[in-house]
Amino acid sequence: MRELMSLIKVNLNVNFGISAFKYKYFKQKKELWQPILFLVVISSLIPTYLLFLGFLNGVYKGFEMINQEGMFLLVGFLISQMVIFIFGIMYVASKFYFANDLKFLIPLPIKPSNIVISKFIAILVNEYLITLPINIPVVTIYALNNNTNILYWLYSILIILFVPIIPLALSSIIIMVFMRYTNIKARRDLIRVIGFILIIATIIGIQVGVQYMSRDVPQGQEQEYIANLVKEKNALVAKSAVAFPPSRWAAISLSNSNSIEGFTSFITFIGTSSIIFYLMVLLGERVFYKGLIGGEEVTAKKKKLSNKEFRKRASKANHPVVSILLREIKLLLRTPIFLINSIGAIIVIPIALLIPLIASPEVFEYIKGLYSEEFINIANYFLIGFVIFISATNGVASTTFSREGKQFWISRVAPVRVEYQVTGKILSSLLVQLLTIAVILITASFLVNLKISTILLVTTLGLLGSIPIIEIGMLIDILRPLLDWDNPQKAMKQNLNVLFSMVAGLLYMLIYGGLIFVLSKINLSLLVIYSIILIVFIILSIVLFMMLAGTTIKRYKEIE
Amino acid sequence: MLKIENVSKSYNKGAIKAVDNISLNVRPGEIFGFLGPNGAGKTTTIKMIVGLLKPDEGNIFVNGINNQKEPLKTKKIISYVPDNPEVYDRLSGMEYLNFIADMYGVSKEERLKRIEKYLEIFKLKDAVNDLIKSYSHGMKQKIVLTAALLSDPMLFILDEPMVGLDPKSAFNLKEIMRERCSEGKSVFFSTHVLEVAEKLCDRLAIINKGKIIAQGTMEELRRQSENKESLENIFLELTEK
Repeated sequence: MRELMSLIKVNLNVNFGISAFKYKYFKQKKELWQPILFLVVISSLIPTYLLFLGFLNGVYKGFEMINQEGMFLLVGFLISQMVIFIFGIMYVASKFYFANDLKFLIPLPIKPSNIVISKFIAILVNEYLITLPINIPVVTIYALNNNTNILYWLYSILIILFVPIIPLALSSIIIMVFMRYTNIKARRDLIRVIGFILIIATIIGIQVGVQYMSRDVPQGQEQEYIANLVKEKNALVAKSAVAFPPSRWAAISLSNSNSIEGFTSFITFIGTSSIIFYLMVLLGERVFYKGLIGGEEVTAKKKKLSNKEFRKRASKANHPVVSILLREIKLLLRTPIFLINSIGAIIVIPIALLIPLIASPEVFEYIKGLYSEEFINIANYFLIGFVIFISATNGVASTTFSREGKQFWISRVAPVRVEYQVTGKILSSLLVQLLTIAVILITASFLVNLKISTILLVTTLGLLGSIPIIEIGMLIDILRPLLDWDNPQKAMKQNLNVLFSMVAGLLYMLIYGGLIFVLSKINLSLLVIYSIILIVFIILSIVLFMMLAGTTIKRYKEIE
Repeated sequence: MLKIENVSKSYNKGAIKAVDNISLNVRPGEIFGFLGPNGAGKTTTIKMIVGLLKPDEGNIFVNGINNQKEPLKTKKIISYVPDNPEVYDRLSGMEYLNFIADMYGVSKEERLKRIEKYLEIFKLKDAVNDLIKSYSHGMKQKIVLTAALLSDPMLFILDEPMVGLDPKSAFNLKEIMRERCSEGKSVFFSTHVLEVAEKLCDRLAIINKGKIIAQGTMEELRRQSENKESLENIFLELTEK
């Protein structure tokens, strides 16, 4: 037990960088503006959060009208459990299998299950940061509108604490089994990356599909259906969430907290969570090391180059910009965690969006209607904005320096103009954007017949419009690069720079939307509107490039 | 070739003085050894020379050029081998070498000639097509050394280069250092392997607690010390004062 406690303590410390934080801000007292900036950004999110609370309240009123208040709890728990399940797959994979601490943990005389538990708890605490802001208001809004007793609050606290356990334990089980059977020598990285994307796409697909089916209203009998609902309190709770019963148990135990049904649901929820957790621990003891050992080793091809081949490869000279672009792309593609988080996400999102559209013909027809003569320009503006927004959120630009990690010295001692280095990095982000555009356009072409004008506009304005936000992302990253990471996941997914870049992206979208609104209001012709947007993008790109290059030159000298 | 003038660097807002007002001068065609116990300030000094750290005070000139004012020019003259071979794991050896050659603008002909030469010396030719991730620690160090030599630097700076090298490679590296000096280029390296420093270096500096406590040829150092037997004795005597 002592061993386990100590492992948990170290894991939490490393995960949240507690010692590093204390050292930097309390002992060295350096860059104190960083935590202050962080607080500013967080507090700038408060209005958005208040909006979210208002939205939650509205959702509650909606359910109350049809006498299904319990659904409100259910939806809250279901959403947080789904989010955790999907993100959990990535978190677990990187924390369990790609973290550098494993190198020294494996030789220590520790039970594998204890390593699994300690890592699980570190992720669990991380997940609370996502679930608490959703779940606390959910149970509070419900309590404010209903008569609740002390048992309700007792159940609430325990349920909120237990909510992430089942989805996380399930992702751990899936990942451990997956890693066990993909621990094969050749092409391991490739197999695993494709596997991850397939797993995540399947999970999202199944969930969305099942949700649609369970909500299917019998055609022609809508009125009766609604009437039945209103008569029977919380009938929907029983009907929905067939795909994920734990959320239902949690909702029933709270909505019936004063009855025996509530108590049995509560016990079922806690009991199932504990059993699945225990199963995960048992499995961890047996297969964790099997998927892990050798997992970091790369087999050398040991293929000797012929003299001719050697000469060819050893005399390939490139301009520094091209060379840096190639390095960025190679490292992004060859580091599984970077690949999954950047390009994997780009591929998953449209698939996830398409499935419900295909599952529901009404929505499909509705979307088709939006791409008509009348609305086509709004569709174009929207697609351009969507492309640009992806570049603010995918983290490719906003972690570009952080990803270099301990190898950052190479860029800093290289006698190459910083302008060239920055250009190479911008081009690499644009290459990823080109892929985004291709995926979005191909997805859209499944729904409607895309016009050539849409393809041209989305490609050119999407790419050009991405440059300023890419530059802002890089600017954020060079101001506070996260270089000292032991697990590539930290450089990308746990890097706050991605969040800052998202906030900047939201603002940028607001300006973009506002610009279009104003230009459309003053009745300019389409050609003029697109030209003005084009010019604005180009000017912004140039101004931000100069700012970025200047700041990077300064930071290259200062960073220690 | 390298001139360090009254350079100081402290951490924690002046609480810890890592390097305290040091000055030294490395001439063309000279192998200069930088000695000191662990934590004396060797790596901090080297990082300031190559531009990875900014000195709090003082100036560093490489071939007469101030490395803070014109960093691109001085970086072109220098090649640096860090104490820990942190390189891009997910590039192949050849890709890394080509990347570095591109950074230093090495021509096609020169890069082929030098890549062939140093890979042959370090016996890395067969592994150069594999990902660096598959290399042993020593192999990583040798690929960093090879990369650093591609630009044929006027000033070759190495931080603890002998650690982790097998005897044959260490011997080869010493030969390379000597060869460079005979061509009029300079080598500056830190070490705590005293025999290497004693046999290889034209001149030495000993740093302790951020201060240079002795500097000169072996002969000059002997004169400063009471116990003149070996560098080991001189080193122990000076650093334990």
